[in-house]
Parts: sequence; C-alpha cells; structure tokens
Amino acid sequence: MNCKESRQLISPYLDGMLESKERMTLQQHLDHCSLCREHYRDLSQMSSLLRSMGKDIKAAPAGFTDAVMLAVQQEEAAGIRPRVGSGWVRKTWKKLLPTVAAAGLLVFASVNGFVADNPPMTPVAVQEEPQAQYSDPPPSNATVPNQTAPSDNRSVSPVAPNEAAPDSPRVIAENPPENGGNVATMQATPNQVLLSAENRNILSTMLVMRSQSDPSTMFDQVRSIASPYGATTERLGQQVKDGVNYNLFKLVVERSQNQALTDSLAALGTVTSRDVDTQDISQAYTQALDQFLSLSTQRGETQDPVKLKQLDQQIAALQQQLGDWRQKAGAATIVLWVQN
Amino acid sequence: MVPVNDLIKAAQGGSREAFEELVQLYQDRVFTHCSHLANHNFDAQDLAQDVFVQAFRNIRSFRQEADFGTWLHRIAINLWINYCRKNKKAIVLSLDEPLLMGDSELSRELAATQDSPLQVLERAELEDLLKRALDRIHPDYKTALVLREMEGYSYEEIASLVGCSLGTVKSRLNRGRKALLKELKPR
Repeated sequence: MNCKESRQLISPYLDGMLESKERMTLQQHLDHCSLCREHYRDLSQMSSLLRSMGKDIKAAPAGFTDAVMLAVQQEEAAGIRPRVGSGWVRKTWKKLLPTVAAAGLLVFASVNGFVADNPPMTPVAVQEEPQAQYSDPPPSNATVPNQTAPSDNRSVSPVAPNEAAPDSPRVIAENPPENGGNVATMQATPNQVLLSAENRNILSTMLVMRSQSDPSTMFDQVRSIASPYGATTERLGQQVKDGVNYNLFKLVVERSQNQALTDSLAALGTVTSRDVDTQDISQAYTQALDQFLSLSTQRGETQDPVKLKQLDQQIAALQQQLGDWRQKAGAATIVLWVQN
Repeated sequence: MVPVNDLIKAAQGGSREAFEELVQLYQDRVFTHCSHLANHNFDAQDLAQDVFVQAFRNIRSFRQEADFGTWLHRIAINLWINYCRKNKKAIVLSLDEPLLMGDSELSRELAATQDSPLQVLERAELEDLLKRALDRIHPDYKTALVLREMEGYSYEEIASLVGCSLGTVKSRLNRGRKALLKELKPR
C-alpha cells in the first residue's frame, strides 16, 4: 500500500467501516510511514473533538417558543409562506423580539392572575414586504412546493436546485386565515408544562431581622402579611446562632410576588441581612428533558414487555423530576429569621 | 406531562396548544442540531424557527411510527441544504476571508509550530477554530461531518437523511476531513 491509497482509507478506518483485510494492510502501512501516521493522528484528534462538541446540548434562547408560535399564527392569519433563508424569518425574529417579550409577560401575568379578567393581547403581525394574496381555494392536501419538510418519514430527498423556492413570495392557502386579517392573536396558555429557558432556576431569599414584636404573635403577623400574596407560611421553630435566639419561618410564594412580599415582611422590624440565591438548573433540566425524549423514542420502538416496564418506570421518574423542578422554579422560597 | 404521541395527534387535529408543547419539548434538541449546521449567514435561531414553522405546516404528514425528533432533524437538514444550494455564491465569497483574521497571536502560533496545532491550542480556542473551519468547507462536506461526528449517524442513515448513495457519504466524509484539516493546519 502506498501513501495515496492509505490516505483514502484513513477516514473509513476512523468510522470502523473497513473490512479486516483492508484494516490490517492500513495498520501495517501506518506502522512504517510517519507522515501517514501523523495524518491519521490529526484526523483522529479532530474526530474526537468534533464528537465531544456534538455532545453539548444547547438550550434554545429565551422567548424562542413564543417567537415560533407568533410566526405560526402570523402565517395562519395571513396565509403567507416565508421563504427559506430569505431573511424574512430572520428579520421577523428580530422585529418580534419586543412583542415576544411582551407576550411572554402576558402569559406569565395571566398565569399568575394579574390580568385574568382582561382579554388576551393582540400584537399586530409584522409584515416585512408586500405579499400577494390569492383567493384560490385551498388544495385538498397540504402541498410542499420546496419539500423542505419530509412527507415520508423514512426516505427524504433534498430538493433539487431547480425545485427550490423561487425568489418571489409564495402564497399557500393550506391553512386558511382564521380571523381573515393579518392580526395574530396571542393566546395565553396557562397549562404550559415545561420551563422556558429563562425560568430554569430555583430562587430563594434569606431575610434576617430584628423585631420588637411579641414572639408569641409573630407567626400570626407573618401569616397576615403573607396571605394577601397567596403565600403559604410555615413555622420552622427556633434556632440559636452565635448566642442569639431566632424564630424561623418559611414562606413559599409565586415567583412574581417574591419581591413585593419580601419588601412587606421587612416592615416587621429592622432587616440586618438579605441574601438572594439563584440555583441554576438549566443544564440538569436540559439533560433530563433530552433523556425523557430519548426514552420516549425507545418506548415507541420496543415490543418487549419487560423493557417496556423498565422504560415506563424511568419515564415516570423523569416526569416526576421535571414536574418537581417546574413547581420549584415557578415559586420562590423565603426563609425568615426573626430575632426577638 | 402529556405523552408525546398524544401531543402529536392533538397537533395534527389542529391544536395549537399541543404544538406549542411540542416546541417546548423539542426546542433544545432542535436548536442544538441547528447550531451544528448553521453559520453566520444563516444562524441557528433562524434555522430552528424555520424548522418548527415547517413542522407545523406539515404535521399532518407525520406518521406516528417514526420518531418526531428525527423528523424535525430531517426538516432542519433539508432546510439547511436548500439554503446552501440557493446561496452558493454567498458561501464561496465567504471562503475568501482569512480564517484567522483578527487573531494574529493564534495565526503566529499556528504558523510557527512544528507540532500539530491540535496539540497546541487550548480546547476552547480549538473548538472555536473548528467551528469556523467547518463554515469554510463545502456545505456537503460539512453536513456529512456534522451528521457523522457530532450527531453520531451511521453511513446508511446519513445517506437516507441527505438523499445520496453510501459511496457519496464515504467520499464526502473523506474529502471533508481532509478539507477541514487543511483549514486548521495550513502548510
């Protein structure tokens, strides 16, 4: 084997795609040729690095889901088909950011009862360029002119260049407008089950204070301050620290009310210390979510009842974990130390 | 948590809320795939958003026996390939920019060393360099390398995803690796 032949085989060798005879011949060549050995070593190191880079899971940016849903609603409302990579979506994404932020706030606020009686916000859809509108009846089946989405789950062929979407805007009528205009209605969805990227942390506050109030009525005072915020109050007991006696209380409140409640509690006395701790769970959450999806996929592929049972147990445990995190991340904990 | 298959069925029946939950479930995975493929011309956020918009549009064509995550990944690859084919000129032009522009220390280090740069550079720097080098090789090579090395697909799966023969996959990986090394280790 010469060097030219060797260089053709190193790549499939790295992938374990060589027959045993070819593999042995290549190994013999590498034993004797330092240049090819160096080439092999470089490719091998590059391959390892690429593989390790592929293992990192990257969390989607904050507001991503809202941006997608606005784009979907906008498309539904206007019957517009954005062109791939044309800049339309990119511009839309950037223009939508303020709207997305507002919509995100609305979802959060409505979940927390701020605007429960108000109608949902109706941001005006952003339209980058004039789009033609046709009144042709919708096709019986969704057609995909540029076939960017696979209609066959098993075999997908990329689009030939001449089949790619033309430069002129296309209009499809597969999803007729629901409200007949280009105003997208953002519906708040209070039943969201997953944590968005910006909420993947657990918030706790420790408040230490001196108070002149009667210790026997302290719990009632704390509870009366906390109840208008919908917080639960729990007496944790007494603790002596550095020779000082403290009454400890734990309050759990909706995250949005955390600041206001903490400020109100400060009225009980003189605050001597206030620490806010934010525990980042984004990486653990992302990994658990990915594992959940992976197990769900495995469950769909197996018929083995024993394996199914195992998978169901693992999936249930992950669901529990994700649910716990969501509960903790949706609330804030305040631990109140009161010195009398 | 509602099972994924139930969410898909509901979304196929027109439930926007169910689709939104699917977006939330899969957004990190899709964003990760897209960040491997995308470059400065077509960034990962735009690509990932396009993927879900396409998925929503075509969700009725999804068959339940397949994996939804893989289906989304196919959409991402097809969108990426379409983009590259439509923007050949822009990609070729970007290749004229020097890889190590604005990073003279790194350039000197690479130029001066007798050892492989793979042994010299810190890992973070090298990853950044590798990412930029991937953007400079032919998109077909990049796609094959990303699918094989970063996503762990087999030759057969890559052939199916990209729509080419096994021989083409083998050839693209071989040429792609050489091209990538050439970008990293100019002689």
